Amino acid sequence: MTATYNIILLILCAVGLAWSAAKSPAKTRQALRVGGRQFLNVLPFLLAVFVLIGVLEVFVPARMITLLMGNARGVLAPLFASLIGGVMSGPPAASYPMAQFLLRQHAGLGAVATFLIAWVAVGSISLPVEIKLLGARFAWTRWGLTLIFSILCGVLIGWLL
Amino acid sequence: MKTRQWLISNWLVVIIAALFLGLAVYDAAGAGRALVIGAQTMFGIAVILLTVFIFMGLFNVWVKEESIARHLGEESGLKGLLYGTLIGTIFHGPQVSIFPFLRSMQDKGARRGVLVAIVSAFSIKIPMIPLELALMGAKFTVVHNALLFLTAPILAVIMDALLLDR
Repeated sequence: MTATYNIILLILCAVGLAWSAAKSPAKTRQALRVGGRQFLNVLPFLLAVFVLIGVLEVFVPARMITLLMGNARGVLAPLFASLIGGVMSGPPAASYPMAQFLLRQHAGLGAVATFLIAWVAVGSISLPVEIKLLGARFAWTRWGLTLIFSILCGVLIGWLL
Repeated sequence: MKTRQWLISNWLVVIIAALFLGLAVYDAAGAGRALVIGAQTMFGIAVILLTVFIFMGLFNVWVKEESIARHLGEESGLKGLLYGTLIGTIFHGPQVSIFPFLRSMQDKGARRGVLVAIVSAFSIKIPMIPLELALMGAKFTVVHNALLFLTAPILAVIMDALLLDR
């Protein structure tokens, strides 16, 4: 299954690159440079998340994650998830392995969805930049709204699936 | 200076590294096992990661948000929100880079609700979809992204109402 999926992706990627190269070799080279640079930027974060997954798996009993984010927690599970996701927030590529890990440790689906949304949307770390550029009122209102919405969406996804 | 900036923007990396080193001193065997599990997880999605970053590069070069952004100044109402949502969806780049972009949109006369639509829809990452499909399943991916797309304009309307008296 995974192998087939990987092959499909690689083919899609090759088609995309070939199309791009046919239209403009210079732009294609630039695309590869941009992709490579983004990868290098994200790499430390990705490595850290993989280490964190290993550490959590070995040192934190699965029961604890179930206890914090399991379905039995009800609405509290997405609330925890939104706070954790909102503070951790990093490159989105790193959020999916983390989310998959949480699911495997029996975190509730709604909580995991909340975690994923909060990771990219809430942006607690970038708040200072946002305040500077768009004003405190805008920034805080947006922050609060997205936090609430990440929880609502997560609960909704958990309920839909 | 540059190192300091890097450390600040990657604070989580620093904390995880410190945590791991502490654990390695406390329980070397456990830390080793943790590394193996981490490496396995990483190699499990290495191919997908590779393609994701190539897609990201292609996206970056061939999709220009400016071409859609041109419509924002004069459009208002629902159409403006829809454009905002679309821009957010195709916007690429790190989180922090979106705020200067929003500022320039605001200076060009875009409404605040439209700005919120852009940031909210920014959570949708088209190049990341292969990764999400592989790790979270098709059903989750579809529902998650559709919901994000639908809530962006709703959030924008609420935000407009909340900030109306200015």
